Amino acid sequence: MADPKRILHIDMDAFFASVEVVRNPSLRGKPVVVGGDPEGGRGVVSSASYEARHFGVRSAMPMVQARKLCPQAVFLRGSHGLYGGVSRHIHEILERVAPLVQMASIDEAYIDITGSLKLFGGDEAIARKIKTDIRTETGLPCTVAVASNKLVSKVAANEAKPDGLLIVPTGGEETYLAPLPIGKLPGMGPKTCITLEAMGILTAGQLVSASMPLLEPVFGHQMAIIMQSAARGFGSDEVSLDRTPKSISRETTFPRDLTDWHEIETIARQLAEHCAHTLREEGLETRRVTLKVRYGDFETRTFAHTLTEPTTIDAHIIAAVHELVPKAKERRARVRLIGVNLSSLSWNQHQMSLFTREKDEKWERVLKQVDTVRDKHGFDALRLARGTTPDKDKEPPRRQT
Amino acid sequence: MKITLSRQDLLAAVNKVKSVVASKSALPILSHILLETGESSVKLTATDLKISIESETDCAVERPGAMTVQCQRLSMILAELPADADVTLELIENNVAELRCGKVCTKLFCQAPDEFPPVKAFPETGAMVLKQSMLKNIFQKTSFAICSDQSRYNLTGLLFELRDGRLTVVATDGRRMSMAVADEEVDANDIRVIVPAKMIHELETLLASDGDSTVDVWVEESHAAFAFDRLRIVSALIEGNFPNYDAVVPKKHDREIVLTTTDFIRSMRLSLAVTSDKFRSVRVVAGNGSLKVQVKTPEVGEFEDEIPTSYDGEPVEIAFNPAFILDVLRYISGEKVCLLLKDTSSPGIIKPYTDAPQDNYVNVVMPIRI
Repeated sequence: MADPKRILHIDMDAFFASVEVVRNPSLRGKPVVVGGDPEGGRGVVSSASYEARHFGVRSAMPMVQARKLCPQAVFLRGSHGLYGGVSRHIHEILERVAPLVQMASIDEAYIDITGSLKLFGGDEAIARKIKTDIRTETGLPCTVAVASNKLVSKVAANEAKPDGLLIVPTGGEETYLAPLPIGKLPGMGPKTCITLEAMGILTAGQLVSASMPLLEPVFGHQMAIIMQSAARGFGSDEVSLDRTPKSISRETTFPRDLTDWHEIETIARQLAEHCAHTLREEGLETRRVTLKVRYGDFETRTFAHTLTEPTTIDAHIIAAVHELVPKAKERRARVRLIGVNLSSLSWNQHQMSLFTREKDEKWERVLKQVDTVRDKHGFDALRLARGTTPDKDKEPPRRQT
Repeated sequence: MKITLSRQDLLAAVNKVKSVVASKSALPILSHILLETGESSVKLTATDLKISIESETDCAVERPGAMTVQCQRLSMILAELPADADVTLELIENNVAELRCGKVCTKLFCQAPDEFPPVKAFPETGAMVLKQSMLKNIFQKTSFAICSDQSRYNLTGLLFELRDGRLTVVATDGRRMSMAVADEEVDANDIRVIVPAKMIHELETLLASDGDSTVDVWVEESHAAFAFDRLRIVSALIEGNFPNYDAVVPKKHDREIVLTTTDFIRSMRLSLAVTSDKFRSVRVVAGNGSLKVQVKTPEVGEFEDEIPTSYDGEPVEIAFNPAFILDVLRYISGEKVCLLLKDTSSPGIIKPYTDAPQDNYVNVVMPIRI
């Protein structure tokens, strides 16, 4: 029989904030908050250092609230291009240990280390090696946990944070989870937790021993079984490299509501450029470009454009955004948020087209170089100029002032 | 209206028209077929508004007239009846059809026949006459390349072009193009129209594969009709510009690689087996009397093969989607096939080969960037 699987979960501690500290060591020991719109008050926290968390600052919290809780913190806008670069570096470090690396997000990954156990001398040795290598090469702290499946290793990593290391032995999953509050299990949202708590079920252990006739009427047969097996520590141990995203999107909330569509479109173009870069990085191409607009009164509308053929080229995506803008500005209202979404994704086979214009070929060559530069120096190293459209002559004449 | 005919004949006629009947449609009448009596025959008509099929069969007409019947139900009922039985169809009162067969009696609510959309009329004369088998052959050789993406509307049909007596059909989806030329001269005025894929697929099924039977073809600006074997298919044409196919066929190739068809097919099938949705690519290197075939698919595996060829010139390397090559090879019946290449990023051309590359069946396949 094959060896039981060992799955390692790695989670970077306060990733964006930690990267900022490495970049500017004078921030060390200070509460650091990375989020949108640091000056105004309308963005949300995307990452908070542990010093800031001490004051109650959490991810996804409005910046205003973070400012109230911890006025002395250093508030930064953050540079996603840089974080992406660091994330790729971490991915490389992880691949040195085992080839099966599944990046669950920019700062989290699962690695199937089953085949590498003998090579490195066991799971704990691998966990230590990864922590040391990441610390030496990037200066960043992380938490690593190893268990027999993804579910338990993820729960364990959350428990061991920050800068932690936790090994859950094979067969010890249920015992490990038993004392944990049910809310620590994946899939247990606040509502489910309240319902379970009302039934007197507070821990994973209690959930395991709860009788089916008690759970079934409330959650249904299937859900009850899923909940209990999660509490027992059953989970998938498939670390898959394939992760075809359904869509790629970027959006931003403005510091203040905007009315100038020239400015709004410029930002939409930048978002499109980001999306296109991610698209190429993932080896995908898109057929559908959607522009999302949230107006000042919080009404949100989306406008979509289907391209005649799949593309990876910024200029085509930006041209689609440009076509959608007049529809979006028909509603004469202030704009609070703008977003760009690429969907109908497929793998880019690099299939050449019979009727492709030479211009596209040129774009593809240029963008290949652009992406190489960005891999080295971050996304912001090279940007398109505002006026870049595939057919400049089609651009409506600008009013002279 | 009242008619009697063999269950076999009625079922055969229904089967010929039923593929265009809409299963779900905003217009209930479109799920029905129209039956109209002739002197000693009945004509069945089905339509989805774009394409209509009429099929005629002999019957005993007791009372002439017209009626409609829900196609799906009629087809299900007929399928259950004894093969050699006779059936009687009668419109017993307004909008109720009765079908009797032995002791079986079925009554179906139906729609008034005058609700049925009229089929575009064509004159009885002035058709060009083509051989069914020839037409079927050139349709089959090209229709796989028709674009299925509705957003490229002008490519969702087959170009049907008659120029100086030469009939050419062309299909493309933007990545490959297939062109077949009829092997007989056609005496008619020049034509250039795009026939929708659905019409072509219907014709491929209904036209005879061999023999000398003919088909009458009418082409007008917005419609085309094909009539044969007591069938008539009428379809709206696709309005739009078909790309200039001559321009995409490279005029000059430096390398002519002649291969044994069966070798090439086998190697491409093996290649396809080792590709994935994510990486659908086979690399071929021609030179030194062989065609080296290589596939390396991440997460799947590798494949290598070598096929003998007479090509001895400067080596050339190019990558293709093996599925595109196989689509073409399926319709090359000769022993030899010829692959014409220029360089890594120029289209490859596949033609049948007997003593020289044959120009009556030309396939252009765009490479995959290496």
